[in-house]
Amino acid sequence: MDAPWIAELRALLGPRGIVEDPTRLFPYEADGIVLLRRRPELVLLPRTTEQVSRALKILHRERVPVVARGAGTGLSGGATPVEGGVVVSLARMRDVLELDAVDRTARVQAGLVNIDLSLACSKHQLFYAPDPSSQQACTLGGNIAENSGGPHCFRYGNTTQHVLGLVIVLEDGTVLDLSEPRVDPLGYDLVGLFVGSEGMFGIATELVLKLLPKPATTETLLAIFESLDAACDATSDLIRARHEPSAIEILDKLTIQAVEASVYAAGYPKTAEAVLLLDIEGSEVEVANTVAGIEPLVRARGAIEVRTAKTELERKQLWAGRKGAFGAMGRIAPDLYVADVCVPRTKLRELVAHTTRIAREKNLKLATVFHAGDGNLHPNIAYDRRDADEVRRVLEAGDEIMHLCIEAGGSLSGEHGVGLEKMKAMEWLFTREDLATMCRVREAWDPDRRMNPGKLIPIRACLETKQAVFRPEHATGAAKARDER
Amino acid sequence: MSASLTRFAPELDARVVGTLRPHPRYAELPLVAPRTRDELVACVRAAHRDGLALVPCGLGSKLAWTQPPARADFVLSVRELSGFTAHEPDDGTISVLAGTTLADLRAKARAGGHWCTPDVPQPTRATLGGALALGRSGSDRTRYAPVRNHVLGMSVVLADGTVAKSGGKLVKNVTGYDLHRLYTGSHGTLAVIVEAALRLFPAPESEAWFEREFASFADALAATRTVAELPVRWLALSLVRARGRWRACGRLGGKHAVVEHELGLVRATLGEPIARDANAAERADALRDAAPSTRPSFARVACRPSRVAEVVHALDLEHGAAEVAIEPTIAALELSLAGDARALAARRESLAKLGASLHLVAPDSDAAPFDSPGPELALMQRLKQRLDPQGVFARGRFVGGL
Repeated sequence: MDAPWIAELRALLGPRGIVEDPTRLFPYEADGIVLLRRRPELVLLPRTTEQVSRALKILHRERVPVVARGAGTGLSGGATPVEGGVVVSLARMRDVLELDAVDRTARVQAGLVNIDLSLACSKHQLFYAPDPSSQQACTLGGNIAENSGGPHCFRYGNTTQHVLGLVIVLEDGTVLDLSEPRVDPLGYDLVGLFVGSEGMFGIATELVLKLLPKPATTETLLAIFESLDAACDATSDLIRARHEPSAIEILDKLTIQAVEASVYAAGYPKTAEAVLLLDIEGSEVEVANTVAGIEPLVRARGAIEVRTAKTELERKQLWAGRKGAFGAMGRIAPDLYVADVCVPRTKLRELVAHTTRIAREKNLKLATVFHAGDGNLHPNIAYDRRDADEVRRVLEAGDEIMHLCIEAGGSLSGEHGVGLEKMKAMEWLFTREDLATMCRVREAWDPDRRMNPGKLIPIRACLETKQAVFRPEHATGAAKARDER
Repeated sequence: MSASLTRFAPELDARVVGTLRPHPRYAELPLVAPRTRDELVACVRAAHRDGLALVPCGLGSKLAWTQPPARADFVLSVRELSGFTAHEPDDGTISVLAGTTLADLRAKARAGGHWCTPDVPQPTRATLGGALALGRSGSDRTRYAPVRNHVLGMSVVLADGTVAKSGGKLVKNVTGYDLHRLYTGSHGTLAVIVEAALRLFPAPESEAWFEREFASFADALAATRTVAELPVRWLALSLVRARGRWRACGRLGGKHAVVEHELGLVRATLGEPIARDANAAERADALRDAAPSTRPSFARVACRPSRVAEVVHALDLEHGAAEVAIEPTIAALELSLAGDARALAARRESLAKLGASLHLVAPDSDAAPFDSPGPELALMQRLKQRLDPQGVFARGRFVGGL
């Protein structure tokens, strides 16, 4: 028989607000990292902050682990319910609550898809700057959990720089309204601390976000190279010369070929070893001046051609190719391991070369497409999850890449988060004291470590604190029945 | 040295360099200034072990910006911990010890062809650690947004002497919680900042300074709003009232050709630039250094940009003797105070109705410096409790008595 608390949740959310059927729970087993899976006991689909609050009160009372989920496009296992429990999907909370074109802010529900915000404010000549490649699908709440980036974060910064306020539901159901946009926080910067906390501090249900005026002029350049090294060096030169485009992206040959063979075909030259894709924004004069400074630099590094998008359509195509690159790689192999590491921008060539070597040594197919201007590498390894040996080599390659980046003064993630995938690597980058401090801060928000348990901080870093508290006897009837089968 | 020092542990006594009040309304206390990171750790450990409470500071120039501590035994300054641990001009990053003055930081960044935010008043009297502990942004916030956005990582000493870091030295990085966001603006109530890594920005090749007087506040506000809407990347833009006259002031900076173009756009509204390049920087620095926040008593009011006029009206600032500086795009106002702190504090409620917050620095008055926080105070108290259960970092100074 069902536990009474499940009946309470049913009554609270109605039939469309709860998923119990095991066949319908399947999509919630994993996010973009399909290697890491665990089926939740239940999925809740609330519509309002009030519903989230009341649901979390019930789950708090029953001490059930909770994992918040946006669109499930994350690439670090952040939304994988690794310790079971209940997934709270924000997918039905996708309203734009307020658009203030004068103060350039938007108040939205957390499940709103990223691109939909820019579409909603476009008529006011405003846009929302963070633009992850998955922006057609990913939710703004998920972006906040991961402090997501995107190509144009080179100029505009990651999500954290665009969050003015939040409504957060804490683990016990308390609603914390921090949504009044403040010039500076009153007291500790709880909003800034929450962004990037990977769902471990609570659930953000409403977001107040900064909107920016659309740039007067945008120019898109495509520089074509005969070597990936040269494209990396050109990027380092652009940074060294203090140029300020909005986005500096590199796509390597395998990525170009995959894109050109797909529906995202953008007109990238298939014979090129690499292309550098740049957006330059600002006043007409600023753009012209920046373009005039950039062109000779990339040519000096061996660009055989520098194309300028002549029409808005061409511009959009060039960017659709970049943003569709991950999807296009489905043509190379059924699965894609998207690594996400950061290095100083002076070391791009060296680290990209290392990733190529590692893939070659392990006989893996590597396609590289990355936010070069931010030093944010995405070595993408195409593989087939049914091949156990290949999976092993992929994971080994991922670890080696992370080690090399750390040695070079880099870090584990630029925008995808640590989640489940990189948790063990946190001990390579941080000391036990650093991690214990994170754990102490986490426990101020969530004393029982019940929100998105088993993520980001290796459990042994928190040894002095209590163990996570999910009690198996609280598993739902549905889950028990499934386990018995 | 005062007799009270004899009860201190040798680690602390060895580094006592004088006395300082942790707040103008608190007694003088020993000033402890460790010279190395290890000495700093030893000092905090000694306080932890001996049940002492300390107030961290840089040069101590802004200790009056908080409430007096409930109890403090000594002031711990990071002033001796200065210098640069890493500078990568080609990557646009710098790692700085907390006791480094903002003037030195600015000079170092300039030498590498960079601009370093925050551009705060009197940078020779401000340390980076102090500025970050206050969460203080500068006049360049118009372009670069708040300083907390550009702190890439931090190393801190926690209440039990543990050294902990967060973030790194990279312009993009989401590895682990952004604890440096928590420490920034925490007024030294959670940890002592030892070192911070910052993002640098290209130094302007060319600069221009505009200044124009207007007959009324309304005219000056309208003019700054007009120029704020132009496709111009203002480095700073403000409305200032001094000696009873309203002025709109703006600083342009960037590549030569871009600044020349922007000059043309701005001329129609603000007239010819008053100064160029080095002279423009000098003018900008002079205005920055004369900000109301450099006075012993001042108030800072913040609101939504669309509410600036209402707030100015509510506080009757269009006329009168107070010096006022407004960043219209940020919607932050500073005004000098002359013995009227209680009267201003009494208007908190009416300001709150306009969505405005008030920070009052009036050391001679017992008016509360900070607004009262809402239910989020309980979470802040839990953070304090988890990081500093013993109250090594003196309680009572910050919002809600933190």
